[in-house]
Amino acid sequence: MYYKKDWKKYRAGFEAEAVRLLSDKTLPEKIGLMSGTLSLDDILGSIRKQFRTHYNSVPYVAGGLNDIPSLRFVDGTRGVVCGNDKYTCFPVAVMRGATFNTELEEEVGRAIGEEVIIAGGNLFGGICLNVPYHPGWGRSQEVYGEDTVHIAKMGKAIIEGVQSTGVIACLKHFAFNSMENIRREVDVNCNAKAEREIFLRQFEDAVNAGAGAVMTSYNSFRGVKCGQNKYLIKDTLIDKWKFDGLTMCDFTWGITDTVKAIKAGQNIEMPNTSFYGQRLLDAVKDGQVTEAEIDEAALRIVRTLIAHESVINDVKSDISDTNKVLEKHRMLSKKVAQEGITLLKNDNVLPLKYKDKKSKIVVLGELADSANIGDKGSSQVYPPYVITPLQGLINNCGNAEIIYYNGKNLNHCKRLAKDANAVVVVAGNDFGTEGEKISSDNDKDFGDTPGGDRCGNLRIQERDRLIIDAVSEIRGDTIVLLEGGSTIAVEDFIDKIGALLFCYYPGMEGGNAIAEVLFGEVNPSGKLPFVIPRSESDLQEIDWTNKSQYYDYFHGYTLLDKKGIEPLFNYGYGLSYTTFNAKLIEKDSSEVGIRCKVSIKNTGEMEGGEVVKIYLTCKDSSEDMPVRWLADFKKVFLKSGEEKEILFIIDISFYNIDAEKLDVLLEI
Amino acid sequence: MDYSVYESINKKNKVPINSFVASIRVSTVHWHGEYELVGVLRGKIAAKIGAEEYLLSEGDLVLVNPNEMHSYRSIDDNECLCMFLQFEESLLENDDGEIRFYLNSASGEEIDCGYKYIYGLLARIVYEDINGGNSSPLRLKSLIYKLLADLMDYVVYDKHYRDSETIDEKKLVVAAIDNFKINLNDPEVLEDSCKKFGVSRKTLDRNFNSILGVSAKSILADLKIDRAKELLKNTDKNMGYIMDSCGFGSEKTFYRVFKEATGMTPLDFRQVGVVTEKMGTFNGYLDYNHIKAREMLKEIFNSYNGEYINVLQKRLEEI
Repeated sequence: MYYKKDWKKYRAGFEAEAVRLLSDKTLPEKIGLMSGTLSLDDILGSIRKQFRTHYNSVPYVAGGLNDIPSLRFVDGTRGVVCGNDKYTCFPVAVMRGATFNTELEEEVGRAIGEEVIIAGGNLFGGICLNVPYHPGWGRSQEVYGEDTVHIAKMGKAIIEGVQSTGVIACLKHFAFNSMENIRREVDVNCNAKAEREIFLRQFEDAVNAGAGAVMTSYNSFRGVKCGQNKYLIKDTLIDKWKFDGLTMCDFTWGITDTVKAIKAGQNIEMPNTSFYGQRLLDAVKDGQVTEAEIDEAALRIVRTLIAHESVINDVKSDISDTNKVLEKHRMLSKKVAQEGITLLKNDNVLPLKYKDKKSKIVVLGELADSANIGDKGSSQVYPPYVITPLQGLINNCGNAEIIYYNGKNLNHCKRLAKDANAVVVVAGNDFGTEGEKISSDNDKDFGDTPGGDRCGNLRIQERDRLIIDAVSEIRGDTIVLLEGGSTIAVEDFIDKIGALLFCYYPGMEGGNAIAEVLFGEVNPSGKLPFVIPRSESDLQEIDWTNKSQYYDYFHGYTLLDKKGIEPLFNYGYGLSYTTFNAKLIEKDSSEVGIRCKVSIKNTGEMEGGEVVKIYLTCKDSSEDMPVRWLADFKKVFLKSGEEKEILFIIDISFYNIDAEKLDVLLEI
Repeated sequence: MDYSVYESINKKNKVPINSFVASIRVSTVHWHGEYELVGVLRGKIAAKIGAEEYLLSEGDLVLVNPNEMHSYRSIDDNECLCMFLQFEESLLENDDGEIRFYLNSASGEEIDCGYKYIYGLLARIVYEDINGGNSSPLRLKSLIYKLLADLMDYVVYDKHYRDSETIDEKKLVVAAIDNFKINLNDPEVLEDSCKKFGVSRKTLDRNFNSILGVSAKSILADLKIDRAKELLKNTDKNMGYIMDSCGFGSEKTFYRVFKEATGMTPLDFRQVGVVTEKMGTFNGYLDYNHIKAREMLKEIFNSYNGEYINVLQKRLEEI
């Protein structure tokens, strides 16, 4: 069954029941609902990943009484992080963003929700909605891309999918969390327009979509730690946006002051009890915190949990055949990868025609042979298998011979390149070069994982670039596959290769999807969810060690637009093996917003998908106005010669903009 | 064996390798499922591997990958001596694709540990294999694994993946050739092989053509000629015996085919060229050489101690 509902309304229906359940509870019992039960040793041990008991290998529990369900937290963003060799590893969020397919993302949400239930959880903590202010942000892979409206629409889709299973969708990291290495120390500021339109809009939309939980971030905003930031939690989230669900802090270091946290609207301390528990009880006894404040938090927690549990109980029976469910999800994971792979350059090299016995396809680069599914932080999923690009090519190459070489000896690369029908080089990033950073100078016990922000530059690793250089000396049709979570600078080699595909971190079935695209069984339809400038220096400068960071209104493509700099590959760019033609056929403004109708036709030979994007432009070109900004998009699939019409109703509100000055701009 | 090998030195099979010292005159094109590492101890040889021919002289070494077609011939008037090590793919403990090494000191490309180091290690292994003794199988194993690890660390290798259909084709071709060799005396060996492997002649030829680029019949003809040459040179068997044991059917065919292939009659072939040893003396020669080879190998690996220590140090630095 599919439970799509107005969650705010649905949860409100459990208010009376929640009040009744809490009516006979003591103060310590109510405070017990408000924090996690994990011991610090558990956290340390699991982060060290000893004995395969990794971080969150079982759901992290908070609260719970005999007649009140506990909160059972399951982390993610690319799937369920619990267990080993079991749950589905989907492509990372940025690749799902590249699909620009909200229906597909809703399916992913639904699948993840089902797996959270199978894992024994009731809350999915993997809905990351931060806007990467700079593409070097280590966790860019965990968000849908650089554009706020795009993130908001994809976010709404996953929330609806996850919550259709009853599982609580938990948003993070509220808010302004777009620097990794310094995340626990940095204080962020920005102007009111950037705050509302760029960094908070997607959270507001997510709340309107019914998300049941919000996790605050580690960083501070305007001098106040976000986990205890009254302006953000109480004033904005709860009072202004009418958020009815529960709040929790980011793990272990999310709050540092009992009274400030509770007064700011922080409901749950996760995943252990340090500043809540006894300290919170003492604070009530001292009169610093009122019992009404505890009651308010407890009510939010219980109301949310019992409302969602009521649906989970119904869904459980639908997914009792676990193996069948998981198998279906793996195929979904492949479909997402197929739709996300983004073809950026193709000088008549693709699709490959070499499947016969006499063909030789040379595959080069360490990443070709590695299970590169993303970083090794809190979003690491432990799937039963990972199809690497090499394995995918072997699986899908027909009778052709595949030759793999790691690429260390450049002469050998050249030798192989001379004798091959096609050369594929896999280059880019992995957990070592970008991702969540778990260690910090103050917490040596937390092991040392590499990753973090890309502080040096946005280029590929030298070992990979050398391979591309060497092979390019031999032939001009080299196919380069890029893996990574955000913008990669390609200016060093783009002109000397024949084809370029951005493959992000494509999940457990990624290798198969890549091969299917290379051989043309799947027509690529992914679009870049970030901009790739001609030169890295076209982007804004950032100091990743900066403890006081100002976020400008412009970043990414809006910044390049504003500066009048043509990027190498613009936001939303992506090629297909077929061609499309789109035109705006109707446009008018009404009370609900700008209404426009687009007609799109597949004018090529092959069936394929295309993303219709509607940007808004403004006749007002004052300093703080973007040249254009994304307002809506829609993915369509068309057979050769087929034509469809799509209706858009643009209802996005903007700060201080006269609606009459707005115009729409169609792009495919 | 297709070399003029006088004996395979180790047949104990306690270690899944085969090593020997052999003099090389000429070998026909052949292939086998094992890796073969060859080091030239004395003289000069031409090694043809695939389509390329390399001149190797004393101190050179080359690694031939499984199922790679190759042949050797002496290009030295003096006796030419080589050390051989053959090892099975399974020793690499790789279940994913076929590992192909690129090790050839005559290629003009250096390897990270230097060729001398591998050459010394090869001498050490062959020496240990000849030497015997209670600890020998263990020491041999340790040296073999060391060699394999060094190959993987210091020598360029890639992995080849072919679909199971192609692998099956290859297996069939190799099995058919083995069957040809055993049953050369049978004039119907081609048809019998088809029956034995349950394939049609057409399929057999398609597989031979796809893997080797020639028909089964042509390979069979080569094998017959080789066998005949060997018997002519190294035995005093009469023509009738040779004709029968090579499955030529009739004397007329034997003479015609042999002449087409070599440009001379079997009798002329036997008479021209120097037949240095016959089987009988060959065996006596081996005992002498066994000791001689051992001394030669010992000298090599003793003089290459420096390389050994250098590589060890380099390894420690890397760690």
